[in-house]
Amino acid sequence: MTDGAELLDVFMRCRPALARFARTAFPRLVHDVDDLLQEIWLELQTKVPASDFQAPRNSESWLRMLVRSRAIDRLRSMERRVFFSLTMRKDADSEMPEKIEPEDSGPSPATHAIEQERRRRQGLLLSDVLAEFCRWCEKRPQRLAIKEAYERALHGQSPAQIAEAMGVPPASVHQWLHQAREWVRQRVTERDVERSVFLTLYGGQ
Amino acid sequence: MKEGESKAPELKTLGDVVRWVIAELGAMCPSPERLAAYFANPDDVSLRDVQYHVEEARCPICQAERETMQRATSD
Repeated sequence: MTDGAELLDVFMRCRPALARFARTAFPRLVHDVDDLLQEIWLELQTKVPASDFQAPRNSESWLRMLVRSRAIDRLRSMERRVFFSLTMRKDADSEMPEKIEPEDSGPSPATHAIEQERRRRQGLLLSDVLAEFCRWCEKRPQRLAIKEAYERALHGQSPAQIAEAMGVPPASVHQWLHQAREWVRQRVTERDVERSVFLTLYGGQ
Repeated sequence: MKEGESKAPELKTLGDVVRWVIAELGAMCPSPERLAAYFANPDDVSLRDVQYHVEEARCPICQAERETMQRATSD
């Protein structure tokens, strides 16, 4: 085990590599990497002296995980800020999720902003649901094929292509995709009480 | 607004949203433990989903992690 003080030393030694990792993995944070690492440094200084702090076995790997996690938190926070800046209120678009735009409205700036806000909201919700789906699949080895098949489908592969790539009967793929979509649909329904994401996800938009 | 924020992706379709959450927010990334296990043993059949995610789907986040690991090892 590495003790806490050693972990801080490892952080300082690996800081250039961690910065390079963050810039490569999260290009949108390229200008925020120094801030991100500084926040992590402060977080470590708070965590490490705590009596219940368990130093990781592999410090470098653990630090990369921390950077990855905090980078995703920061990206999500940025998206929320963009979302709120587009709407100026948290519940915008939720009152009339099925509002139909006039046919001749065209892509006006207002329409474009509303659409971007709606898509970002979809993204934040979907991101949570898909991450939860992955953790659900990883709990049981037999669910890993469902995860792979679903990810392939999300990348545009047809059931036939998935079956061929995974070396399984097409019927299995259909069953896995049905199971995955049903799981995701249920979670989206639970979380998206206004059904704005649900309708677009399954309404073909 | 910071420069990084101005590069927010244009999300025209649900497909754009899905691509964004997978590539930028790591929505389909394996757990860190399974990713590390895959890097340690890429031929492990129980990690085929991770192999697809990293090698075929080419997740930029996981690929960057591997690159960083490899650099650390070679340094």
